[in-house]
Amino acid sequence: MQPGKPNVSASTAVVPFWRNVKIIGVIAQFVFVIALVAGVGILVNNVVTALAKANLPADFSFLGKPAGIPIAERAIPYQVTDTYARALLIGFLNTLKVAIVGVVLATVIGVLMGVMRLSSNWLVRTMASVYVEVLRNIPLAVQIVFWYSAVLLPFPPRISDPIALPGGLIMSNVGLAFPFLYPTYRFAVWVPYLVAAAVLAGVAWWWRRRTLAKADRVGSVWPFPVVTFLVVAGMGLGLSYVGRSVPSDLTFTFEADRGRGTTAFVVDGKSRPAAFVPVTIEIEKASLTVSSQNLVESRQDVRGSVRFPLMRENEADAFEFAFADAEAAEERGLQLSFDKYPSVATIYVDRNGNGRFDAGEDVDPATNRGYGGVDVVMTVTNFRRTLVSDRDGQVRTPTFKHADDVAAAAVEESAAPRAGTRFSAFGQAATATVSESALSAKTAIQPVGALVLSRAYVPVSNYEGGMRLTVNYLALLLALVVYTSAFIAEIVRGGILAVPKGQREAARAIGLSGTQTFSLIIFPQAMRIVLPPMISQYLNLTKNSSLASLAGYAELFVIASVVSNQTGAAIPIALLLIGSYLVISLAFSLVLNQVNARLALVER
Amino acid sequence: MIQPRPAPVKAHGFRFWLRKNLFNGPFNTVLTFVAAVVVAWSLYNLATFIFVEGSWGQVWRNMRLFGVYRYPPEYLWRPLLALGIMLGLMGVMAGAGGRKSIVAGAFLPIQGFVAVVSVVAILFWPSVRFLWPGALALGFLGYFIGSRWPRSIKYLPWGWGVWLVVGYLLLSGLTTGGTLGKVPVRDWGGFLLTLILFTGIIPSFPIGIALALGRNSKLPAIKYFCIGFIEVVRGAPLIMWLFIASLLLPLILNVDANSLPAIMRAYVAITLFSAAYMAENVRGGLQAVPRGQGEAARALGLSAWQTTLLIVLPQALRAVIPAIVGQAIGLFKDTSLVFIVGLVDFFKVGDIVSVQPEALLVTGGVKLEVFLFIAVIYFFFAYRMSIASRQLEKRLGVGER
Amino acid sequence: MTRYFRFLVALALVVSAGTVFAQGRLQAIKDRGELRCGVNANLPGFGVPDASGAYTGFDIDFCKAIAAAVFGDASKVVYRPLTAGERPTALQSGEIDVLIRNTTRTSIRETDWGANFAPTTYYDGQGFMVRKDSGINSLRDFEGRSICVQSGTTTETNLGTTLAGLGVQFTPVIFETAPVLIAAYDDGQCDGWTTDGSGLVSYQTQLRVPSDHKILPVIISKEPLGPAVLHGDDQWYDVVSWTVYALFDAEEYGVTQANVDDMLVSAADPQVKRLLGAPGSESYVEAFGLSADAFYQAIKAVGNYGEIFERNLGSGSVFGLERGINAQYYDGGLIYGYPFN
Repeated sequence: MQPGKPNVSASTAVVPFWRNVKIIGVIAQFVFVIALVAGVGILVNNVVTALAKANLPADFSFLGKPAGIPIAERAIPYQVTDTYARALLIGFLNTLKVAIVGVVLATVIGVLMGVMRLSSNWLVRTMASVYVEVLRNIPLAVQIVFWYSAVLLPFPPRISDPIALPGGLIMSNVGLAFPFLYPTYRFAVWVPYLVAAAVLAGVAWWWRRRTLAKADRVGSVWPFPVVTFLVVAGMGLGLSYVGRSVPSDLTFTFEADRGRGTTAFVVDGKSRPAAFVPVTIEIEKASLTVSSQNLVESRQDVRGSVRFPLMRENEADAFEFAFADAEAAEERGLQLSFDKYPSVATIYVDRNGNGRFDAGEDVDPATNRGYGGVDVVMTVTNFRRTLVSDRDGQVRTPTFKHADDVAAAAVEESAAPRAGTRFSAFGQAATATVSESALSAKTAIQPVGALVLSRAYVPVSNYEGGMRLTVNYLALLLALVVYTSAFIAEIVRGGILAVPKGQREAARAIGLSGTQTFSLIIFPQAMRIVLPPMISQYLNLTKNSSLASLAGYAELFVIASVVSNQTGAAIPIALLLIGSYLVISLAFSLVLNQVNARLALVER
Repeated sequence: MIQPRPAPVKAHGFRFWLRKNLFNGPFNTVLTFVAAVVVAWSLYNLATFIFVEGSWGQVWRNMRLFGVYRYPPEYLWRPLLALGIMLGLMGVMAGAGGRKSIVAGAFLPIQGFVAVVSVVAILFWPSVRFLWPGALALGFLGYFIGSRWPRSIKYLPWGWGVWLVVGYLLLSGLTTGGTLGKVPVRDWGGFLLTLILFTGIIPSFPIGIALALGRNSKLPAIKYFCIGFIEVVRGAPLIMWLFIASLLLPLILNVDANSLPAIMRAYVAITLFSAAYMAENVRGGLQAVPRGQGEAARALGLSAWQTTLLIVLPQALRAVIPAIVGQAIGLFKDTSLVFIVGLVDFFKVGDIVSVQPEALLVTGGVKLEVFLFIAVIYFFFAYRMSIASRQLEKRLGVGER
Repeated sequence: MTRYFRFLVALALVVSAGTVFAQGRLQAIKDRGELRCGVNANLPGFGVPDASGAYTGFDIDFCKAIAAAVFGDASKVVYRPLTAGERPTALQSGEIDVLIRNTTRTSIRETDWGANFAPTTYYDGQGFMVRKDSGINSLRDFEGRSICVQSGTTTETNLGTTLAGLGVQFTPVIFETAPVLIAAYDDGQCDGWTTDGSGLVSYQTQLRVPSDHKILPVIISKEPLGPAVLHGDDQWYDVVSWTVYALFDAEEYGVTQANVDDMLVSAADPQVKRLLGAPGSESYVEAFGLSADAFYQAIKAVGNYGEIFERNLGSGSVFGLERGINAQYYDGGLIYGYPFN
């Protein structure tokens, strides 16, 4: 339109140039670029000087150094000894994980709410309006803290007494875990079939379209390729289970008394972790000691409860429960009452003598609290469990002790030594191994096909196996989804209202029902209008995920600021961050522009 | 032959309303019941929490921290005087515009809020007992002046300019000690800081317009610089820019870190971030101005600058006022992110309040109470602004076909 | 390129040395009329604002003591709350005169940060807190469990490397801020959490039922915490160091906030006289570039070391912390004031 600053240069220019817009433009740009280069140069120089003065790194060499940052939430294998680069990569993947899932959920809820805002039902309409108005007018930071600290942490039950839903879903205030299919080391067997299936599906699609075109008929195309694909791929998957055996170089080492093992391929003495290998662990007789706890759960007191790792009844021939110190328990009149077999028990005193647990009997009148700190021993016979090792080849079981070792363990516990004279964990008495009669376990590696179903379970006080979503992830996701969905609802509502009235009237006139009018006429047209603003909402969601630190989720920005604190490499990290966010933005824009283009074509 | 139609059903009254809005058809009836259960359950839980379970003492005790954080109590009259002047100026605008004007629509609820706080102050806060009602009175004085002498609105731009300077001087102080003793910028906090950071929208306005014009420029150097700036700034989250500004701004500008308090660094980041978004809004407005307008102006002999400033920009800005208000709401909420650079704004005070020793005596903590309170206050102001934006949209006829 | 950098560095050092050292920091502070003290605003017991917004705590009292020594007025302090990551920049840029923010004295901080540490005011070490009834009694028991840790500190790396060294596999849960971490631990998201021992004690009071938790008898690191100033200004370093020693000595010689006025007049012990700058021994204090009653003022303002400890962390506080290794040397601790001779 207009040149930026022509007057500056014009006054010094020769008269004929005065009216020559082109030359003014060139001069203006020249001046601008020089000013820009000079300005930026001075600033960069300042930074370089200051960095050098403060002895801070200004290049990317720190990326190769070991990070030492523990990260729990990761999509790829990682150890504390890995590099900064890998730590940052994990952060980036975590950002993607929350952004992609968030975008899908926010769209679903947002569209639903947008449609609800236009409902003819007053109550529904009002509810949706309140939802939208409240949520989009409260800062996201407040919402994240609210969901995380005020709702998801205090309200669901604790990990030691999780809600186990049918289908293997486990819920607690640590998060959510559910069974999941993972590719095994034999996945490669399946790949040719998958390729073949894809090719054949393509052929089927082409063939079906040609037949239809030849016969000049209208019919649906999609079932043909889909069925073809499923049949061929399924056949391949089935075949991968035939004639399977355990490779000779696959090993499983298991330390029963530490409750952990590793599956690995050992080639020439070097071992490499083997992911997703099913193994069976059998322990003839073992015991587990747990202390009773007084907890505040869901803002309520849970008194004197004993929680054993979640175990199914079919996993052992017998479960026996007893107080570790039977005499003392007898003396105090303590009894055990199982709520959920065989996971949770309450310790009580049968004061009314009816032989069972009644409300109020779990409170010690002397202290007005529950009977906490009482040890209870569970003894299991013929425990056996089939587990699938995780991505790092790790397998975990409850930390059983040898059945005869209980008394010894109790003594050792009470004699836990006071800190030694040195300030190092290495070599301190408290960390030294105590004498234990070794617990032995029988283990076997199970043969496996291309895929394996890994179930979620709670061996100690964390989820193992299956797909695990931490409460930090869920809180952040929930806040992002709810917040963004309020904006999407408004966009969708606007889009629907923007479809000309005549469209609806015409649709009704040619006899379409209300639902048909909406889903076939109004909605597709509205979608076309709402897509561009939706793109920017998706990007906002992605960028907003950088507030993850409020929910303790290890996302890109969180890890980057940790790395920046440790190395002082603020500028390189800032550049990396900007680059990463731009890459995400571009990817979103590209994908959605494609969709946009397709929708626009359909419209014409 | 046409059958005689039955007489139209009575189309008003409570029963009709119920049938039309809640029970038209089986599907809607089920929906109504499901929704009613959800609503009743939510309301019941909310009410139980607010009136029975919640312990609000911790919130109540720390009102001053929420308001101004560590701003010295003996100087509290200064921010409140600044508030009073602001209310007065708004009052003049509202009074001149009439009760139904949009400014009045924003002014009256704020006065209501101040009135409520005033009552509370008179009853419970001796140190500001007369200050809050004073601010309220200034607001009404302005309203009276505005409605009595509507032409006084002419002097308002000067009024706002003076207010900016006076307000800053009031907050920061002039002398060491005494009535106008200096208050270091780092002691500003709480809701006061939130409002101060919110004013970042004002300087972002001219910068945003310049960027938008630059982006539409035919000169590639300027154009691509503006595009680059806008896209890079918008591409990364504000929280990152705050972080970078807090660490690097003193280094980049090569100034003593003391002369650039954390608040100013955050302010710069917020302003530039907001300017990039402002630029995109203004660009939308520029595109909406018909080409003919510019061409006609040039044909009349106006210079390029005149065309832009007098013809194109006013129309463009008029079209995007609602979008700008929307952006203002966003910025208001985004000020809560300054916790990342160690500033204690309204949101961050919540963290401090919920870990004070008194808070720990309550079983289960007071997090829910504290953050509910914070959410309500943010909501009040943001929602007020969004209503104003909607009224503007209607008034300006934006979005009507 | 490297040569260019080096030149720039040298230039920058010369320029900054010229501006900063032309006039000693002590004089600069006196001219300015206020002491700038970098503190922690989020660690109860060490530094946290109370309901009136005034900072209180162990570290804060040392800021006050230095201000009292320099100005004779403990209120002439400007507190600059710092996050863990802001510390080096704040110190190096001269934004603060002294850093008293539970900062561990380490070799890398003396070299890379260019920090000079005054005497250690609190000997700390990284420890762990667990529920009493969790069955965790040693680090080895963390096998398969989760530990909450705050990001951006040495705590985090100590945890990772120590447990990896012991072959214990655990799930770390990282938090940016302490309050969020405490809530998560209290709600059972982690089986334990780790930070400096003083932090554990401080935050234990913030749990719902503090007595349900215990601190493991394991310390995995040395964390001597003390004030730090920037390299290169010996006079200022001496002032900070000897203010701390004066508070140590005051405890040893029985000078308290309450009796310091009497002591100034009536003390017979020449050590006490020199410490307080009593008539006849003013020169001992004045040699630091301070007024004769500087340490008298410091003690008058905040009391001796023992009083500061008890008031903020010990029996006079909600934390009820034992002196432990922070007792005077004659009680078996490590606190040892140097003589005024």
